[in-house]
Amino acid sequence: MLKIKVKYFAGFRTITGKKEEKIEIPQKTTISRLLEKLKIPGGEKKLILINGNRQPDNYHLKENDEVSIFPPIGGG
Amino acid sequence: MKKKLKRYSRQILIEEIGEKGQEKLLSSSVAVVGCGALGTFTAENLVRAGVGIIKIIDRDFPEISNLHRQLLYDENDVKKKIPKAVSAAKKLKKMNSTVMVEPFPDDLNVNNIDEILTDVDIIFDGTDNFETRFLINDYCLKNNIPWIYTSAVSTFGMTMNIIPGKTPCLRCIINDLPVPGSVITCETAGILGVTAYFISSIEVIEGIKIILNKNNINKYLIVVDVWKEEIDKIEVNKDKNCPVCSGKKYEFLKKKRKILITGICGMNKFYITPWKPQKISFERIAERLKSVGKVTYNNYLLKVTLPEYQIVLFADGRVSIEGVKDEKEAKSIYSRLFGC
Repeated sequence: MLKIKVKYFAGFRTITGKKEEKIEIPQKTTISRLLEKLKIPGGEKKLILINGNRQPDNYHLKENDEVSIFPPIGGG
Repeated sequence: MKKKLKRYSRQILIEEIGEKGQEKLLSSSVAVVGCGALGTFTAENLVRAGVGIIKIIDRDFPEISNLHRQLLYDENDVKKKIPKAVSAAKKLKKMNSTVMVEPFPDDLNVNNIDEILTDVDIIFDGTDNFETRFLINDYCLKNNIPWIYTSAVSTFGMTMNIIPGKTPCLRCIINDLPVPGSVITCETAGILGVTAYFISSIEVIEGIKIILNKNNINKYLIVVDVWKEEIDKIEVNKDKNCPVCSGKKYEFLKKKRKILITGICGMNKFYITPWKPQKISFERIAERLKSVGKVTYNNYLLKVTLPEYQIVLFADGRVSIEGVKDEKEAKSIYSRLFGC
């Protein structure tokens, strides 16, 4: 198992009730699989950075990765 | 102290600015694209701070539902239907007659962007949609002009400095235009005026630092929640696959990447087609839009009925808007409801 940190921002804090969480995931877990595991309701556009970098949905998460999840905010 | 600097004497006392910095501000040329809650606050602060030339670009007219947050408009502007850019410019000139204020009551698009933004040193974001932001991002990266992405909705605000060659760009974070309805907008989720003022304050100070060539500009994506007193900085790195800052493909400066708007002659009806078909899930969108008007949907389309407009969102992302007089109004409604 791998230990990673997931950080939520803006509306995703309200949706999940958390600012961040440390979780354990199996080896070779992809970003898509992680999102299924986190059970964040669908429909909302999610922007995801891994250690500050955008990665494809099939990226395999690594030990100590920091995942930031936030919505695109477009109003003005 | 020179006579022209006297009105800025208290600002000049700030060590980081000084007379030299003030002279630099006075010789700068800036643009504020979009003059709603973000844009009015940003423009007022830049004008009072003494930028030399400020261009104000906005395609809309003030509405009564804007007045709780958009600082440069009043009931008279709503009644007289004066374009926001014109109304804002008139008020800004009264605040500082020594600054040149140029209003552009127009939709910023691929056809006019070169002409409108020519010779600006920096662009401040006050827009309400991602298509215009992607256009600004392309323009700035291509022409080596800094810009500051800033947005606000509900109690959330976001801002990031984008300096070509030095920082990541907007497309390093947001790969492509969000699917219509997949982002919350001020129209659907509301907005507190102070959300916009808070995040715009950061935008203005960062802009001043960029104009003055300071080396302590913010390198993060800043996210705030004004209701919960939360300010976070998200680390963002350049995406080596970014189509704009790595690939130098300025797709939004090419007409084929624009959303397509077609009018139905004599019917006050316009169709808006995203540049590529989308897969839409109506359930969440319906939930969000029910505060705006009557919403009904089936597997194929979602219909929103407002007193003046009838809007239909199709499952492939196309939108028809009935009751609008021109393309500009259609685009405005589209941005407000779907945030694209």
